[in-house]
Amino acid sequence: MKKIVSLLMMIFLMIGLFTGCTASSEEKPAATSEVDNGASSSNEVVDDGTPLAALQEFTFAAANDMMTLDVSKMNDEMSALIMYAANEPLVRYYNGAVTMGLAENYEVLDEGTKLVFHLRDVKWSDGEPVTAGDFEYAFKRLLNPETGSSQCDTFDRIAGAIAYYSGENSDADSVGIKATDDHTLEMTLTQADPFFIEHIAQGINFYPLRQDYVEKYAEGYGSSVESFIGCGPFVLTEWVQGASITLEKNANYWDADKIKLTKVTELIVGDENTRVGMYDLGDVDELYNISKTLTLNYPDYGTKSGGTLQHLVYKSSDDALLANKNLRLALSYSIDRQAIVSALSAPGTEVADRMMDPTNTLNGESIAEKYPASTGIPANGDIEKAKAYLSDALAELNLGSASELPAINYVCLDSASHKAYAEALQARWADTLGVNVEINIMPVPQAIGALLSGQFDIFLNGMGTGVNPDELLSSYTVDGANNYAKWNNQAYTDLIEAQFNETDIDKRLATLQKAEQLFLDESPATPLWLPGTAYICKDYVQGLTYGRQTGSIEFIYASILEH
Amino acid sequence: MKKYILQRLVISVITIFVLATVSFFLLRSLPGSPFQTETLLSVETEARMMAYYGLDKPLLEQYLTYMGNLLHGDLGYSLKYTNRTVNSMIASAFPISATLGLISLAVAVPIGLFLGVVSARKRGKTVDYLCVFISVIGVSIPSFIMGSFLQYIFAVKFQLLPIAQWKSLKHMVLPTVALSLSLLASLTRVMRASMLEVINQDYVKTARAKGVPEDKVVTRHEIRNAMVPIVTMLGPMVASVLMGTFVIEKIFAIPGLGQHFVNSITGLDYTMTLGLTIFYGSFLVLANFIVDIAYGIIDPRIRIEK
Repeated sequence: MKKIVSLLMMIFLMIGLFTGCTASSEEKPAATSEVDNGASSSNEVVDDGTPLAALQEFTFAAANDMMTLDVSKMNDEMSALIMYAANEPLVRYYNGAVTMGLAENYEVLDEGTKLVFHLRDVKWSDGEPVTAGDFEYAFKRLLNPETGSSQCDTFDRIAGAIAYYSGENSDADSVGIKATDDHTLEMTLTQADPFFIEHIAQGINFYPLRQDYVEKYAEGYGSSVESFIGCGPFVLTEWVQGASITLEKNANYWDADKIKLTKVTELIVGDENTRVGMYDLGDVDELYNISKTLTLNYPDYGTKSGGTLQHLVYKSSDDALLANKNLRLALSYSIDRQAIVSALSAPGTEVADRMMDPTNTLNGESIAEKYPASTGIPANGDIEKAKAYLSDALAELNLGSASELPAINYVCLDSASHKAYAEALQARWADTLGVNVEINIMPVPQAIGALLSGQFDIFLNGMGTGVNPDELLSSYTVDGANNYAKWNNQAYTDLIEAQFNETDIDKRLATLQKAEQLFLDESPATPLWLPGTAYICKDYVQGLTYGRQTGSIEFIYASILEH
Repeated sequence: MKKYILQRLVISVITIFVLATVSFFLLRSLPGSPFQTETLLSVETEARMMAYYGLDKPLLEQYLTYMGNLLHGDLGYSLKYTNRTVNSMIASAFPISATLGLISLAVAVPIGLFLGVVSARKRGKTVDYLCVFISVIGVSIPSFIMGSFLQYIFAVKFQLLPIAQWKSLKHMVLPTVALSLSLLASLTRVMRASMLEVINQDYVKTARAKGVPEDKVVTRHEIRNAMVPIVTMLGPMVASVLMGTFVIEKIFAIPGLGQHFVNSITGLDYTMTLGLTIFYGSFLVLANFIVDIAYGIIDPRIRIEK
């Protein structure tokens, strides 16, 4: 008996170690959210005459769970996807265009440096009114250094934001965000920026926040259904972490008539074969990001690209192996982008010959198309030119042949697609130029570490192209903190600074175009392609669109046809 | 016995302390930053994030803070799952992994032992070959193949059971079968080998010679003695199975602990990796402790003095 008692004691002690003596305050508040459960829209008929189904429920599967619903700290696409439906921003980005959200309209004052948003009468899902103060609180909380947000840089254009988040100025009132009354929000910019509205529409952190909720849940805010509140078209009703997320229609939503779906479920299923099995069985209606092999079985798949540009960064500092411009150009010109994209890339991937994303728009017009680069690298490469550049480079380096070059260090992320790309590029360079490239595969954090500390010669980088056309280009200035190539070109830096300070949009973009041309001629990095994403969706789902951000499925206005 | 338990307890605490220390420093010596993902953060932002999580302080200071919190059972906040503590994540995922593990063990242990005994007793007969066949299949087919195969047959082809997710008893059937098959197979193998060794021992012959009934010979003399290696094996097996299996949980979309073991280390989520290591380590220590006590019950020869 004694033995059993002591054994039990031991077990309890061990359990105590983990449940801990720190008390956690996880009181459950009464769920006051109103949820519209009625399938009220059963008799509506859509354009082509097919009536809507009685049950307006949409289910899709994704590989990963969202990380948090704390809008100030959120930085992953899965969280952004749910936030888009469960909360309402000032302006929305829907189907490739900016639409009004919580703001009914906005005015641009003081030569474009001041924006005044006039808000609608909107209620949080518990019935409390949404005020301009909720936005001011949200944005200032994000910028507060004590919040620990990684998203401060998205507020760069707001007056006083950088000084506040970097800790230079601890006065929150100095930030150019102000609620003048419950329905008016003013933002002061450091300078006029025609892309700003699009920037906040596509951003993932421009939502209102309820101060009382944040104070009540403190560090645990947004980590569960109870500790989150939104005012969007849907209400988050269940979040089984790692398994599923359920949203139901918000009866209090200001534009509730346009929302047809009554329930949206996201199932989190890590394995692709399982996801496909669930799609075949009808457990889910849509699958996003399917692999190339699977598209063979589903010929009616759709694709999208844009929003991200993969490019090769060459370490170009004076002490680097690739400091020689002609050597970099030889590598860039020998790549057959088209062949690699057709053989290896996800469906929908498009070859890129410049550092601007063709899906970046201004007033609905593609900026890249309006301001073309004069000499982009051809999609199939140009071996003759590459060889000419190589022989110039070898002459400058006093080398007899390419085999005398030291091995070039290609740091590669440990992912299937990156490894395939690395091998294809390595083989291409060896075959066409006789250049020896060594591939070093590393896990993501280590590889990024090597990139940032300059311990690489070649790195395949994929970055979001953002909204401003200079998003990628503006990193590569002399001594720029994010000049991954460590490239030093004063003429380029001057052009980038000139376009940044230019207020006339045409002049600005023309200067940027010049800078881009210089960048392509010098090749500290070479554009490769815009990665595509393939998706499959049952034909009875109507009105589903995809945003520019990877992983953004715009299901809020979707509906289900009778089937 | 009391003294023994006390001794073991002290050793356990020291073991966990050493484990935590070594893991802490090994983990922190890995290159890279937990906040850098493929969508690169600017250098200033990364530095601010490091400062926010206290990762910019001297390593020794961080270590002391961590160990101080550990004494209170506080494993800290995850660096990836913003605003969630490691404790809360273990608390929500562990019961799911443990449930799957316990059910699978409840299926695998009796069947595995039974097959092991039967096949040893009928050595060289058809039954033996059948049992060996099952155990070879179970050991050699990896669980991702077994899992997909079961899904295809029972969920897609005949649609008898749900393909994935963790909701009801029905959902538990396929993952349980997939997991218990490999457990069962290794138990069968060890039990068979152990029984074969015992069967030829002198004391078994003596028991038979002095007229002990056959069923008593099997249960009291053979199985009881053959159990010792099984008990040794069960300790770590129980611990690892209850902690969750990455592959089975991924295939069947079960929100258990398994995924966190893999994802936290590839994402450099320091607190999560450390928390899981310490949790797993403590569990293993506990399991081995129970095994040591169980030895005494099964085999009086290794019973602890006094």
